[in-house]
Amino acid sequence: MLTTEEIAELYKYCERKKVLYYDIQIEIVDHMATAIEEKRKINPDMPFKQALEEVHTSFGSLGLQEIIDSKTSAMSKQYGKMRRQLFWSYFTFPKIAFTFLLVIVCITMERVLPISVLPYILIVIGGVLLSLFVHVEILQKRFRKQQSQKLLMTDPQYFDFSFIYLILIFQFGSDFIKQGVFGITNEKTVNLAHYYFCIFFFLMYTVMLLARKEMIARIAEKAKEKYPVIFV
Amino acid sequence: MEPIILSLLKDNGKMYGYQITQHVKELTKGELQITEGALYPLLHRLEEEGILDTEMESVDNRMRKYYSLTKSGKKETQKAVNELSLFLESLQLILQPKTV
Repeated sequence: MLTTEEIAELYKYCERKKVLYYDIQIEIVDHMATAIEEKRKINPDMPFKQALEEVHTSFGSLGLQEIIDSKTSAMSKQYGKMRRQLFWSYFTFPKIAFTFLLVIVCITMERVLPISVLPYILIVIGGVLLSLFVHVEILQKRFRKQQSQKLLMTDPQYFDFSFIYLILIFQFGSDFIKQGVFGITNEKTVNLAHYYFCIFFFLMYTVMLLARKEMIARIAEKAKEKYPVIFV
Repeated sequence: MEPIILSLLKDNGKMYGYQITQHVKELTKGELQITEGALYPLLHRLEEEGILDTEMESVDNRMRKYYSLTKSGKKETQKAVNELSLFLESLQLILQPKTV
């Protein structure tokens, strides 16, 4: 059996070889440790460093990089699937009820309120969306801060996907708001088309943010269950 | 390599990476050796496809990741083994055709 110091040395070895994620390191460390133990059964006097070099050779020059690449790509596909499933769940029973409610609220506001007020409604909705975005960002950052080690399964590359859409939505929305607020055009049909166009994007973005929030919560739970030792 | 690993997991329940490489080596009497650079990418792909499930266990003074077949993985194993058997039969027919 390897000592705690030798196991720590294997983790350092992984870092030197640019394997920085803990969830990949543990698999490599266990593989190397078992292989070293096997070598020592045959030759108990073999120095640790020599055994380590011999074991590393069996991975091949690109072996470690191949493992990182394969894990990154597998995780990307897995999360892509999860993201799509969570997004579409808002358009199937039972969550569709929530989406439907949002649509009804938006239509009712357009019917009940005078058209001159609609741009201000959009500004309020934009503010709510921005708050939701900030809330999800804080949630994600807080979760990452709880980790004492980097995990590939919680890497930001898999979650930072919604800010670019937010900018696009604000660009679409600003056109309508300028027209409505500053009275460039008073044509009702033009204004209504803009209103529903913006509402459509706002709804999509809300659903996307809620799906993202759910995804973070699910992955956080899974990560804590799998690697409890790295959570503070 | 995929049918070999799936069959091993079907027979042994759960296994870890190093154990798989050693089992393959033993079973083939050293004729087939799986490199780590080939094994882990395959295991990660199968995990992503939902064919394999993983669980962590503390062994000695380190963590160990075990792989096992999921429900759909068990079905997939049967399919992969059948395909491999058919392929080997076809190969046999080509290499040693029956004399009429």
